Amino acid sequence: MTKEELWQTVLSQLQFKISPANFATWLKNTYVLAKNDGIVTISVPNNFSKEWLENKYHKTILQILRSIDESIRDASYTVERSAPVKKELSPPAPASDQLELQGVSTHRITNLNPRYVFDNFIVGPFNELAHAAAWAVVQNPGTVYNPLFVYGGVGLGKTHLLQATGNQISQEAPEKKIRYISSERFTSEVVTGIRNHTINAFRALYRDVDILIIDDIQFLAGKDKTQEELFHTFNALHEKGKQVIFSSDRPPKAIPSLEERLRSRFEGGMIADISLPDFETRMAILKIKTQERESPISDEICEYIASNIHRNVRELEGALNRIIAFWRLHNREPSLQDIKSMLKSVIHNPNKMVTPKKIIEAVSEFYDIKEKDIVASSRKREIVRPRQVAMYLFRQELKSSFPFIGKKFGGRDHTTAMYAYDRVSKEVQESEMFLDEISLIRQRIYGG
Amino acid sequence: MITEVQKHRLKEGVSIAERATAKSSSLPILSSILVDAKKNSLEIIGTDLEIGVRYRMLADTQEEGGVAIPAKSLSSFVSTISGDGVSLETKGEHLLVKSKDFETKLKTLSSEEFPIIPSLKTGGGTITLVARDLCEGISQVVGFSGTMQARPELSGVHFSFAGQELRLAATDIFRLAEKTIFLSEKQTEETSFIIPQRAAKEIVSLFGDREGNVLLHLSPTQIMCEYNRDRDPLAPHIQLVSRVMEGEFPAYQNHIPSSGKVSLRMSREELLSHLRAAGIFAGKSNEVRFIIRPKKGDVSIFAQNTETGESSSRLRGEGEGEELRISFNWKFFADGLSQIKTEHVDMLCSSEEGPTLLRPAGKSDFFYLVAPLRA
Repeated sequence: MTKEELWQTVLSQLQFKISPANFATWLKNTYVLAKNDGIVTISVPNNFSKEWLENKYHKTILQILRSIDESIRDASYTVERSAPVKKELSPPAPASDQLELQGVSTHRITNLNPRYVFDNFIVGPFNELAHAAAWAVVQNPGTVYNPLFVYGGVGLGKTHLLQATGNQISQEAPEKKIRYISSERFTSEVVTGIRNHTINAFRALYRDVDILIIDDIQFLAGKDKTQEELFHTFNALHEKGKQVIFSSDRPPKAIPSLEERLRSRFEGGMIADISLPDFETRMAILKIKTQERESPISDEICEYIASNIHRNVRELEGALNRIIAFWRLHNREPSLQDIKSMLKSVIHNPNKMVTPKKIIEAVSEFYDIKEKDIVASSRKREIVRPRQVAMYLFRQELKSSFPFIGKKFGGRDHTTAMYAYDRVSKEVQESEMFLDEISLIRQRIYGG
Repeated sequence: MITEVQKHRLKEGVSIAERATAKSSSLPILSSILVDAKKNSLEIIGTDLEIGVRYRMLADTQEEGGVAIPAKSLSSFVSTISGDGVSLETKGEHLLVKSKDFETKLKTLSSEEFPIIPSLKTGGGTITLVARDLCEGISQVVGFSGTMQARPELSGVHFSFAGQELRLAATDIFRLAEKTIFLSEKQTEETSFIIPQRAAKEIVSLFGDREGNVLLHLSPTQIMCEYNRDRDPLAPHIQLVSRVMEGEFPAYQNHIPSSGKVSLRMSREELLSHLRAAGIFAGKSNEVRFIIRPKKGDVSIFAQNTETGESSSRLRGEGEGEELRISFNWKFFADGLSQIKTEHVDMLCSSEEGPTLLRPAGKSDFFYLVAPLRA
């Protein structure tokens, strides 16, 4: 019988001998600490319980203990606790610095994260241009490429490049006022400014900087007042020859509902794109990251990761993190096989094949009509609309030609398909509800 | 039990023991007081299982024994009685309280059920302190203990004995107060422990206005604070037992700014009244902004919010350093300031973000740290 079972048995019998209130008060958080030489040591939470058990329940407890195990001679009670601390106050647990956010150590005024520097920014053919432009800006802020507009997909290093530029300038010219801000925060500051009537303070703050860096500018889409503020701020800064840097996940032309005057200003300086890193660059990134973490991962493994994850540097780092975590957990270097199974979910993204059949199936299921009706010649309204939706999806998802679509749907003319596509496209743009409908069908296609 | 005691002692004992009882508990006996007659003495005991209080007075006992009596009825009754001597006697399930003017029967509970106040094993060490100094020190810091469930070690008062000093500290991570008390004897061993805020408050109310010394008995799991003036048999004997809290108090020493951007000396009264005025306009975050210009020798205090308006005031502050703008929760700032008793107060700011230190001018036995608000 284990110590836990022993005490469980004692408690189960004791509960009938004393009142529930007493039982709950005195026996809460008690357990058997040790059993040595016939003496059972029971841990109690405080001295009150200790006194009480010793003086009031000792007999009963001992009786029960002996009825379970005859070799038990006595029971003792102890309050388990470390001795008074002998003045060895260890340094952590800061008392008054708790207001600080753990982990994120951005500079208070510039908002820059000191972790992002040029030294750990890896340059390859895919980001050469952006890097060179950023360097030129560091050398001559405000004169060469103003504004600098960097764009590229997620996780490719836009933020890194922007912050590194800011950090480098602040290192070389500490007197320059730098401000890094995400467009989301910029927007919320505009909103606060309007609400609290402090918009003038806001303007003064931003028109006073030497370097303004705004990240993820595409989120300004549709925020007219913020765009207007940015427009004026930009003009003020540009006039005074101050450097402005933007980033976005797409070129200015492709940002929807961006005011024309702002778009043309974005395009007026230097536009540099960051595309996908090539294999060698991915290897180099992995190498640097493993060095940073001091975990020597073999070339073979690096090659495997680099050749299988190609679209995103952040995913690359995530894969590496998994491997390092595995290493720490199991205390051995993972084999290639381990790594393959570990990264399965990252590498094989569930990009399911779409077939014409699937689309027709999903559409008919969604609108609750027969599959054959869709391709039949009926011109009933409740059939025509699903048919048009299906045609639209053929065009969108399969990139089918219009004559092919027409043929698939009961040998119709290609102009019918074109008309259907145009009509649905238009409606998708106009009606939110219809857009939802389409995305629900899409989910069925990909999910089923 | 048959015994006779002095009325004013009984009154005092009951009111002290009542404070330690639990008002609502799963164990009903905890809301009662144990009256226990021993040879030549009567003990009155109350406990809530976190702290326990025992008050012993001189009594003429003919028959020993104890009963538990609901604290509320006993204390309200005892506070009304007149006369000098009172005799107590158990009769069946009742306690008979008699003097020459009255005779009262109080319903009792079995003393068998009453918790036993844990006795302290000797050997953990005993420290003698001046009652008034200790209580004054505790009351200066006890209000700053935290109430966070997650960090129980902050919900008490930290005692740290070293050399000839006792340092009392309490913090809720946004602010911290420390008081140093000088001891008459040098401690051979350094010890530190944390006692619950409630126990600390009880020590203040029990011993705050008593002459003479208190003895602090230590053990790894509990402490006992004992008062018996000059071992005088006529004077009451009071003991308070409290558990010691688990956990380690943060090492705050590293956060005390020693030198900083700005050091200033201001009139405490003036600063406090300026703060209170600014506080009216400070809004929900209680944010009050200080603009300190040591070169000009003045400090501006500024607060605004959209609902009440704004306030800006200026006072003299002499010192040195650069111009500094720093924001505080004014309540936290004023709380610390009101624990300082001198006419002038010293303020030391390390930076806009680091903790700021407040100290009575020219004294080093107390300081208060407060974390500024971030913009």
